Amino acid sequence: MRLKTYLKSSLSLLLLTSMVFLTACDEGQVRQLGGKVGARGQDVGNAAAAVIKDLASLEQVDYEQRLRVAILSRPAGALQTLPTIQRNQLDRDQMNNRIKLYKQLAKAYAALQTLSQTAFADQYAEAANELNGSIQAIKQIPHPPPGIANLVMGLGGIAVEKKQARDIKKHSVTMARLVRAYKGLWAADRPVWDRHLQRISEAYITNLNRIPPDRFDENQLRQVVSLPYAKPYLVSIYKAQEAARVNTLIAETQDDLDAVDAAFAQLEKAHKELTEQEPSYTDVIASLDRIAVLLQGLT
Amino acid sequence: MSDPKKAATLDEITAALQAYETNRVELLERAFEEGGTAAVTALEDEYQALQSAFYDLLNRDLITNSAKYSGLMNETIAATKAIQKSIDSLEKISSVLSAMAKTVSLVGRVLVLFGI
Repeated sequence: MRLKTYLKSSLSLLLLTSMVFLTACDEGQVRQLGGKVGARGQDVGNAAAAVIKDLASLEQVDYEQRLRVAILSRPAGALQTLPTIQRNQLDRDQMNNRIKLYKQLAKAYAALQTLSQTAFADQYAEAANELNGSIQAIKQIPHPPPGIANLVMGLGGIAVEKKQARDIKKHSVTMARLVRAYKGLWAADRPVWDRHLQRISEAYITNLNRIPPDRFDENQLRQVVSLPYAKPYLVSIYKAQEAARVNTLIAETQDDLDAVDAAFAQLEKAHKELTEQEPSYTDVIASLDRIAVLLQGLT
Repeated sequence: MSDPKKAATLDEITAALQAYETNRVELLERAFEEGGTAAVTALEDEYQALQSAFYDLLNRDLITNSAKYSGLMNETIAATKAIQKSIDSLEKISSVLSAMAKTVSLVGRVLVLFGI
């Protein structure tokens, strides 16, 4: 008797819960958008972490370049003592903390993607079929306990879909708030990254451009500079070649930083649109697709 | 750079570094003529000190920014856990139904056996 009461009350509770979630909205669309926001949010977090890793790895390039021009700038008479230079470092703890932080953001979005893309309603349907099978078996028994057959009628996967959609929306609001903060941190750090990159470039190129031609071996230069210019011009061509190489390296990193800037802005825009009373799903998808284009090659 | 004074200082240090780098070869030659290798090393040490000051200021900015967003990691971890909780809870609905199916099946067998 106690068991029957338990069964009846449990099923009643599930029925009641399902009624609460039955509000008019398109769960399929919410799930689809949640999955897409989750995927693109992961891309943004991972890209931000990757760019910071790249910035940290430039330290070694900078060190080698500055050491080279430090030797070349010395008068020949002072070469018995090799110059010692220090590494120009961005705080390692700060860099590592940021990498961890942006990776954690990616993890949160990965969870949102799982929440959105898992077909919980299908899992539910499978379990409900199992339950219905058991109920049907009881109904075959002469004089089944009253009420049991009716209780299963109101249950359905739709209740699960409603809860899933509601949870996606709820967590999307939290993620929208977090993304605003992440974008703020990224923007606050950006001038530091820019100054660091500019310094790496200047510390090498400005110095190299001032090294007198007699400190270069023209025969060796001929092997490094493939262009068909006469000997007196080789030094200048070599310097220009080196400037172009370093500028390309710096410009690529700056492009990546710009891409993450823009991707954060698009992610924030997508979240903002989703929290509107009547969101334009077309706009949300356009923002998310833009992120994919921006971060091509970075993720 | 949120602090304009700090930004101005960084601009000044950058200008000083550029001025040294533009004239480095000549300055080192003059130092060598006047004071030998020791004078060259002393001048280069000043240049390194200026670079270190530049990076100290940049790193201070990173620390300031971190402090401003100090709660971000914990908030993100909390958000991740909350989403995971939703996933667990949705999975639980199916597993509860499954468990109920097993219970109902058991009840059926009890009914058949004892004819309650």
